[in-house]
Amino acid sequence: MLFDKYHRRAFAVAMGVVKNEDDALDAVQEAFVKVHKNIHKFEGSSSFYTWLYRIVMNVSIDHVRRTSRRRNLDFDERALHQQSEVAGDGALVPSMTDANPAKAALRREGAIGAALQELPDHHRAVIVLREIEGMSYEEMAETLEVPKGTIMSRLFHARKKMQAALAPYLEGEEASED
Amino acid sequence: MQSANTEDDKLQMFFDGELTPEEEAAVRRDLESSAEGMAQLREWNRIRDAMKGTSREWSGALDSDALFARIEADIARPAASDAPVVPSSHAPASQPQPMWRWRVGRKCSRSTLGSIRERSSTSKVAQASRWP
Repeated sequence: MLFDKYHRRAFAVAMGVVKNEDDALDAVQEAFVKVHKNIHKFEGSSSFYTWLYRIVMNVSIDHVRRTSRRRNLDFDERALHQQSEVAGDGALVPSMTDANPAKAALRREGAIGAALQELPDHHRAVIVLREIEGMSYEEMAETLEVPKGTIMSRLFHARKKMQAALAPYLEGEEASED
Repeated sequence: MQSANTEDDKLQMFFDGELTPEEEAAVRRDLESSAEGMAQLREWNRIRDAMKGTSREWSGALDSDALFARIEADIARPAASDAPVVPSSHAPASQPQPMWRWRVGRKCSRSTLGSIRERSSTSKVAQASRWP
């Protein structure tokens, strides 16, 4: 029953935090296993809903951190390897800057995902819980264990950053509406 | 209700439905003469719509049965760290059930997981929905 009720929403929240479907599936799996193993510890001082989402959110953020650490290590190794191969000729530099991956990623289909990935974890968490899950400030404060004022401030900044990142699309839509 | 300290707070709380009816009516009145406030609300609304649409695509592509099977298999798998640590020289002839089985053994896990899922939902073909 709990799985049926929450797994799709938990998956959508995890997708908003992690980078791809595989990582989101891993995060939701880990979260439900944690719920299963710790359900006896759930004291009912918070609602089950916010308890579950706290676990999903924490697991997803941990996942992002683990993955980015791994990618950084991979990148360092690759860079060292390439540096030794092209030492001195500078050919690597133009090929990296010409690609401009951030700009390329902000194309229409992936714009939301790319914009979310640009946010810091604490901003991404609030905007995902608010806009995808539709949580109230009170529920977000309970889920993320921070004061309601902090939630409001983070949400405001997250929205500002999303606006900035999505400006080309938002402006385009505005023009087409007029 | 959280008190709104600034115009930005108030507008955001209005957008999120976090104001009292009286506060909401006051903001609504203010907005009648604020093109800037209305533009802000429109942009927030577009972001909300886009995020909701994207999240529907994400969860629509989810293979629920496959996910449930993964969770079930994970719960059923013995956790090495949960097993009792017994020095080999002191190990009894007949090994006791590992701690995890006593707590969340296969039979137990099935019934408990049954409580987190009463019935199997319709299987859908998982579609790759990776971000670029």
